Amino acid sequence: MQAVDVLRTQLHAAHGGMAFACQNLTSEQLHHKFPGATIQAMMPIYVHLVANEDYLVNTMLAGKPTVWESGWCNRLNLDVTESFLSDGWAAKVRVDDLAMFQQYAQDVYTASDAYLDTLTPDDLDRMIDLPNGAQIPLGTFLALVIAGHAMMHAAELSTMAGLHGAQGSPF
Amino acid sequence: MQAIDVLRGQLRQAHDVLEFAIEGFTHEQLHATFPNSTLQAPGVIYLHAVTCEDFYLSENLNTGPLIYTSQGWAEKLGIDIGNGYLTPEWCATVRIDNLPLLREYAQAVYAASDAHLATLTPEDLDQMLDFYGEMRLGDFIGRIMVWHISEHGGEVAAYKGLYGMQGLPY
Repeated sequence: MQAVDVLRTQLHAAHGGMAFACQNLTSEQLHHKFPGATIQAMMPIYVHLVANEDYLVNTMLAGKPTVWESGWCNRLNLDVTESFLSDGWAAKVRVDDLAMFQQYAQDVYTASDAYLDTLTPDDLDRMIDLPNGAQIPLGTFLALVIAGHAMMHAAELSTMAGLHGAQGSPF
Repeated sequence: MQAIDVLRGQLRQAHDVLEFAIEGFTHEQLHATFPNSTLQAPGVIYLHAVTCEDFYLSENLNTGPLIYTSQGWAEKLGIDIGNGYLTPEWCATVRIDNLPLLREYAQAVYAASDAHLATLTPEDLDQMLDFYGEMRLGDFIGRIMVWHISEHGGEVAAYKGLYGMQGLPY
């Protein structure tokens, strides 16, 4: 088993978990922020995850335009330029066509798979520069920042689904 | 970088998130569920996440008897850990009166996991095991152990956010 196999499998699981959590919920539930909570509504978390993966994999690591810039920016009326889940940004997120957003997400996931396919075990040991000036191995970045980030936020989405009375984490 | 390096790093990160997440709840919040929710209380989720890792080590990775029963934690904590499933019936019986002690038990489980993973070779990760069907050991660690702790760590962190505390910081 190669390290990249682990990463690919986990990303697939996280992507599936996000879609599973959002199924069968109303648009109102997807955009509902619980009173007094610091956690955002489900839809901003979903957008944050997909847009971050798009930027981190395609632009930061592969040096290419994002999938968003390649056409989806003209089809979805969203601001995906913010990397963090601030209250102000999250309050503005509105996705009225979940199916179309999930087509964008699918294109991002396909691009991530294609990027992982290019990597050798040696590539994962290559040091990369982080925006804060630190350096870490590419494999660590993929494991802890991209896959880890996706798993944790997928868990938040399943939590919110459970709070709306739907099926959350099935285990 | 080998697959086992990825898995050890991810499991450590997942443990760190779960431990960060469980800090700061009141005793009442630890045991409270939200109205009309299908989700169990954060304290119960935490207990389930840790004991499941103990079960995985003992029953799936064959590291020996449960740490909970073999190292005295059952007597110290006095909690019935059930069979590893978050059934409503079991959850309703759980009472966590000494969270710091429970977290000491969690540290013992985490240390045992890391020690075991440190012994595994790349070839070991390709060995098949049975967990609701056959899968490679590496897939079991990545898709079941790491995922399970990450999932429940995210859930407990979400609860913190619902109570107005800082949840996931990113």
